[in-house]
Amino acid sequence: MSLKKNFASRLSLYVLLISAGLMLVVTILFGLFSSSAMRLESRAVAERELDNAILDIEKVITEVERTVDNLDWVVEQHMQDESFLYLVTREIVTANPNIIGSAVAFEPGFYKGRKYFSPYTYIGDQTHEVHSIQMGNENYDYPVLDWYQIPKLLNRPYWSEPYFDDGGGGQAMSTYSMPLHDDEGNFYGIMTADISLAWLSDRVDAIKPYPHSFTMLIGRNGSFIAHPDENKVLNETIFTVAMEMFDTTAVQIGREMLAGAKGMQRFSNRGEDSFMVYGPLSNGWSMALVCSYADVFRNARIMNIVLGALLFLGLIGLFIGCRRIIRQLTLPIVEFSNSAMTMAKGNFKAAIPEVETKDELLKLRNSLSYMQQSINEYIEELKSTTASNERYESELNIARDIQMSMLPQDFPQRDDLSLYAMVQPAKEVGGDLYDFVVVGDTVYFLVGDVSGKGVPAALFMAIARAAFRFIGALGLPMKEVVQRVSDCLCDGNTSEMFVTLFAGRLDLKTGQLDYCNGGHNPIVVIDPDGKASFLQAKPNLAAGLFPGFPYQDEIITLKRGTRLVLYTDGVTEAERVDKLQYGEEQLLAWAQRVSPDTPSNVVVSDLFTQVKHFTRGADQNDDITIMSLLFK
Amino acid sequence: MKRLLTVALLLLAVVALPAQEVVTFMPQWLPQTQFAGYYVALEKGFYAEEGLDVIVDHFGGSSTGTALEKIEQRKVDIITSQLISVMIERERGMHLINVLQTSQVNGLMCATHFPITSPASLDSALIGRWKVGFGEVCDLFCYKNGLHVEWVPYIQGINLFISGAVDGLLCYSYSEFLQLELATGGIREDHRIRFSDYGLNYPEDGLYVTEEFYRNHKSTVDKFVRASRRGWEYARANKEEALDISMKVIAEFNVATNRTFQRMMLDEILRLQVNPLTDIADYAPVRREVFEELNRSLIEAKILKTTLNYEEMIR
Repeated sequence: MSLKKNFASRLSLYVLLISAGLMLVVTILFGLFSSSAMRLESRAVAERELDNAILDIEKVITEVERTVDNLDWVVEQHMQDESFLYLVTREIVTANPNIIGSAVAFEPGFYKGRKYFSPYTYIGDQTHEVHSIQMGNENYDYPVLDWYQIPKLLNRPYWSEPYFDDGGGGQAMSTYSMPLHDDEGNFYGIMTADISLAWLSDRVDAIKPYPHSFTMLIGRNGSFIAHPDENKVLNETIFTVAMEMFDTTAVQIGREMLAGAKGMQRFSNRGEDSFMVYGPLSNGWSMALVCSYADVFRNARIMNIVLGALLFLGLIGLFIGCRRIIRQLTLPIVEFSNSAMTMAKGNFKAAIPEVETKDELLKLRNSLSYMQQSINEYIEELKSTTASNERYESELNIARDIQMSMLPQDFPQRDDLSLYAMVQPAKEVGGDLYDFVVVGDTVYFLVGDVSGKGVPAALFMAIARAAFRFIGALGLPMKEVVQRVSDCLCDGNTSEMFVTLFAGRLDLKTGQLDYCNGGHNPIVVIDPDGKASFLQAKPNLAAGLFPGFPYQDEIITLKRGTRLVLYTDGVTEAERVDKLQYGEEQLLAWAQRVSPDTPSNVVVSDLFTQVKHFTRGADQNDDITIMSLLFK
Repeated sequence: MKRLLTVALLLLAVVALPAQEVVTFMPQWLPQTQFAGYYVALEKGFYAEEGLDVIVDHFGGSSTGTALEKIEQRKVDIITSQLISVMIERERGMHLINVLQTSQVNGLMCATHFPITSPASLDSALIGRWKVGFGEVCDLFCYKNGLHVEWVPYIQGINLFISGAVDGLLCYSYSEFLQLELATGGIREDHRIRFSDYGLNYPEDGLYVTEEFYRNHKSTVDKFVRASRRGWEYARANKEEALDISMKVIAEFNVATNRTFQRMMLDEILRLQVNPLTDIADYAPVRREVFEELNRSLIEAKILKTTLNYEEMIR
């Protein structure tokens, strides 16, 4: 299928490309808007999840804090009852499912002079049994441990950073420590409650708004309290991870988290475009939820692939459908084209298919039909005109034959005379004429040029020729002959035509030439020695203008060997395309080159050839007549 | 027949091997790259090549014991310790001999919550300090500058400082200071002080044995020192491998740490081993003038009472 040859395919392809372009633009815009909305939505979802998780943990933290805080006075009141202190810690652990250990740790020497005294109850990590011990000793010097020393120094409750307890609990935990003061406000110990990090990890791991999102909890020292990678818990800090990732944004996030800020940051999580929402807990910890945008857009990406496939199939369907419809619609055009081709091959009656629609196709069909009708009418007219022209042309040819037959073709064959003439009309018939009559040793000759061209000139020429033939041979002087011919032409000359002529009578015995020039070009005389010149003549009017005009003639004697060349203005006024005329100078120059003994027919033909060469194929615009007369 | 011959040859080879001498070695702290050279020497077989079967003991992974106590109780043969600590112990009657001085530059620092514009900035500050010692250089600093500092003993870690319970924390440039950097995202330049910058550049870590052990097992000590130096030199040339080896030891003792931190620690430890006089890690013994000057300063600061004999301590 060549697109250049198939209009339907080409148009369908254009429709396809435009549709695909529009769909692409719409898809991109939709994608941008929807991805922006999804980003906002995903952040909102993540923030909601994070807030809920923080609330859950806060709830536990608050419960733990409240449990310990509420027992402050009980410890003080029953301080001297050692077994009661164990009972209190046991009650705390057994009554609160979130607490895995509890202690009342006294200042060294405070409790009955003992260096270490700290009743401690805990749930064994493996056995889940409740144990109570006195945990202080030389190897477990609790007064210098964080959970004891920090709240003591800060003089306020404190959540310890996560640690692995080897004092009894034997598991990773965080401890809530509340300083104990007597009535006088003197510090005397710390009361604690431990929560398991395993519980925290489970709660934190449950936050999963997206399949690969994860949550982490970090302490005030940046270390991970909960993280999906358990190896990082208590081992790594958010900054070690950030340094491994070479990500300054992650470092910045870490700083903000440690500063207790709440926020959202976009960052590259090991090359994956991600965002992190984070918020603080009341105990100074910070929780962060990390979501990958690839995860957020996962469903959208699948939907985009399906949508893309559907669009692709839709475009293919559109192309096929368009192509079929366009083919259907353009079928009349194809049929019109076939009809036009049939007409172009000459069958102007070819049937033009009908169309049922009222649209442009109907207009096209009507135009084609009108064109067919016009062509047929034109052809009929052309036929008629051609027939008429042919008839006219035929008549003109007959007229030409008649005219040519008027001009004598039997040139004299004498020793003392070589005479030849030729006429070449510009149209089928012309107004030039020549004639000659030989009576004894006298030859009468004439070259004339009727005003105008064509049939009128030809008819006038016929009259002039008939008049000369009748009058010329009467033996009258040539001025008489021309005058009479003129008078004859003037008679009834309503169209005011005239004829210029040169008429002469040459006595072939003596060489006496009697001639009269009636408004005609001067003829060329070539002396026996080859010298050429224009023959001077007295001025006369052209014949046929004024009846009774007194024409004048002249008589000279020619030497034998003298040649006369008579012509009409069709020779000297022969034009090239560039309007340059042959002219009298070139004619005289040609005459100088004519050899004295050259037969007249050769001379005439040569001059015709010269003129033809000069005009270089330009249309002949006037009749040409040439006569050569050699007195031998 | 061939199999029988192979077994016989193997038995012969085992019998022909010299009996390896068992040596117990205790670094002064929990497993970390501060002791990478020794772990490398053990892992790469440098001790074995010297005919030593070295047992590394980290007092069971607890940070509450001290290597000095263990060697005093003759529970270990060789320990790492700091020069000043050993000098103090000598006055108390524990006679240890320095057989290799690895540290050439003092790494003690103090990080604070407030700007330090001069030594006086530390006056009256509440500062955390290891319960087991290591802070004598700071004592000298306070004495020389007439400062009164309130000390808060602690076991380990940086929480005491992070929580805001103390104004400052004594820390080592290769340990707690790096932890602080990693916990806070960076300690400001004007919130730290390095005591070596104040004329207190006393060497720290070295290998120590009792006089008795040295007298009775001199060749063993020499072998141990030789292999240990080799271990440190190898660690310097192959840091990542040394880190891998150290991380294996650390994992065995379940120490809460991470590779990034341990790598930073190793870099700093190796930096502190470069002798400022020679600009190479030549493990030069403590110079007499440094020893004597330190002895005088400790007496002036009333940390020591007696003048100690250089030759008796430094070999």
